[in-house]
Amino acid sequence: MKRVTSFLSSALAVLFVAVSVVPVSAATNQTSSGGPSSSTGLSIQPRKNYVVNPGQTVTDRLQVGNLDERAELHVTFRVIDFTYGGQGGSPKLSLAQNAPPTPWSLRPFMKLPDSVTVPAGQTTQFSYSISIPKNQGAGSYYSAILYQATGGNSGNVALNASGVSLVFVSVPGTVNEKLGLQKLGAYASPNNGTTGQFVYIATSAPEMIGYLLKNSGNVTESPSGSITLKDMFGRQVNTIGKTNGNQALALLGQARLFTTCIESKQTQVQSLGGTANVTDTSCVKPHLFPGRYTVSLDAFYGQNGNQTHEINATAHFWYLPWWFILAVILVIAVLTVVIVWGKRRLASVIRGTTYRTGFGIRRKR
Amino acid sequence: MLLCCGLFFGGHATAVVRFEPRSLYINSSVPGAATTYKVTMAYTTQTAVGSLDMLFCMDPIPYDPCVAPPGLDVSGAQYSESGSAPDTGYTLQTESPNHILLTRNPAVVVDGSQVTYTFDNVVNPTDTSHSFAIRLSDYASPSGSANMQPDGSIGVNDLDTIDLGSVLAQVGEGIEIETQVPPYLTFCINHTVEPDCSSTEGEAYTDLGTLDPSKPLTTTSQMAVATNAINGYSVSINGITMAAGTNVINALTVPTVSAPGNNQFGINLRANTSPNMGADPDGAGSAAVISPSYDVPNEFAYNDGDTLVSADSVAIGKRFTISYIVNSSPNIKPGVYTTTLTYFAIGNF
Repeated sequence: MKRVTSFLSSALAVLFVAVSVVPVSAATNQTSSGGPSSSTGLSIQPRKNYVVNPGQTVTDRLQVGNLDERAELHVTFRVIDFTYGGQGGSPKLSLAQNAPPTPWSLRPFMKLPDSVTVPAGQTTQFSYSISIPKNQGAGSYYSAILYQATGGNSGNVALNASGVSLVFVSVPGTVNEKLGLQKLGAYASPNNGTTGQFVYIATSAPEMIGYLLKNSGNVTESPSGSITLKDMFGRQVNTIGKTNGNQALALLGQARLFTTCIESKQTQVQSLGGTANVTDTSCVKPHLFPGRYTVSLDAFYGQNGNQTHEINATAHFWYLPWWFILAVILVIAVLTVVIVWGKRRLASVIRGTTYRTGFGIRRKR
Repeated sequence: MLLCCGLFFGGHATAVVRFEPRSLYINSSVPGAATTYKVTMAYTTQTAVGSLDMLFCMDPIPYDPCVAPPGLDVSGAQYSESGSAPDTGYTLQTESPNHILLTRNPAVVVDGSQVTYTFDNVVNPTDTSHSFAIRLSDYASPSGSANMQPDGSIGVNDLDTIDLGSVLAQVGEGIEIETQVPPYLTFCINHTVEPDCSSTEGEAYTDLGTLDPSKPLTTTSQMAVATNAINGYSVSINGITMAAGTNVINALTVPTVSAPGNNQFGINLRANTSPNMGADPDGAGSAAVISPSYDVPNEFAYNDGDTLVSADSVAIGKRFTISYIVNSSPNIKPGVYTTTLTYFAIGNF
């Protein structure tokens, strides 16, 4: 018995020592080669719009596609709220689990499944519903469906991919609509309006016109109209027919910036008799002469059954390229020299003569 | 002198409203459906009116050429009116599938009194991506405007026109209309991806190694995005910075160069030389732009919830390489520092 105990103790001691001398390997900078164990590539529908009467339920289907040809896509769903992130159209998501619903939230009214698994390379549809209560007031309501793809859950940096579908519901009825114009004018942007600023004096020809509208109503608004550009002689330089070609929305409470090209690649090609690529909406340098320009905005907005509102406004900007400024300075300098020289010359002529009223100029003898 | 005065004269915007009130009610917003339209309006100028013109166009501006909304048809419209004389008493005369003329013997209208003109059996447009308008104008002559151009526009100083105004509407998306190609947004992220997301390689996680105050730990991943939606997309990033329990490595809130020996965590989406890693965006899509904070080579930043990339219109596949750096100070608390970053691809509004 003592031998067995001694043997077991020795065996355990050897085992303990063997384990303790095995080194803790530092994690190496590694990524495994080959395909992923679960897909992180998905295709979704980015936006849905509905008109739903109070007391009505609508049921619809959404598609989610698995872009990976080898791995399954596991997606969990969650309805979250969003608002505007600034003056643009990028939503700001409310991701906190216990976030209180926004006044325009659809979360209480939406039902959708918890999750779905999409086979490799396939597309799956799932049903969901929106039920608007009987006593719900008219206006705009919106939330987002979050598709969370299960990605990495180990390593120092784990990556997850998520898609988001925006869902907008309009409950018809008498609504409060109010868009207020805050700014209008030439807009300088290096990237087709994603970032930029209004300019009043432009040294290079501005490519865009921008206008900022503040939405103080209880419905999302998508104004429509046109902008006219005239030079300082009143001649019409250009009429921009689609001031909101992308049907961009001003969310509740948002001061939304709408921009449009003075001349676009599409219109330039079409004016030459060609067929424009509709995916290319970039601006081109307009053909402007130096001077003062007048921008006139005529924009409309209004919900179904509600009064149509119109915004008429004008603003101005100057286009003064550096070569023009230099030319003006040069002309002024030359005129100054001519005038000064002329005055000195005249003065020297007068000094060399006697001038008396009634007697004219007489040379000094 | 005039130039100087003009320079100091600040541009300002003023708002003017013309012809109101006016509104349009459409009983059903289903594209292509036959439904009822109700135009409610009040005459502004109290004078003899013989005709009321309603021209259905994509554009509400009466001076622009009129493009008929695709699919719209008013040629079968049946007309009725509610209101008081002398604002009523019209008969319907359909000029074309997008043009209605209400005509009568001229009579002086009542200023500010609202009247509703109802048209049954109007076929809705089929284009759900854009609003459309009814351009309203009234004339003394029962024959409408003698000066309307063949393209439907009227002159800015047209003497025939008494009052003007347009009303807007938009048809909504039908539910499960199988014949339409729905807008899509595709997104993928992994160690490496193809610009069209047709394949990805690697795993969606990276082990960076052991923190070293003398040099940064670096890694890259790639993502690709595309959409045919007219409003484009945004990609945002969410997650806390590198942390080991309550010990964190500070995220760089503004674009900052890599400085070994300091606690730093940041990313960018450009090709870098210091450290040497990453790549500029590639792929055919030109509409997408990187947010300024992440668009500077050799400078890194990270803020939870930031938008990394956005496109304001249709954008075909573009691939972005995300470069990550982690620097640590010599006295950083020991632990396994990790973070989980979630990238959200969202359609813009």
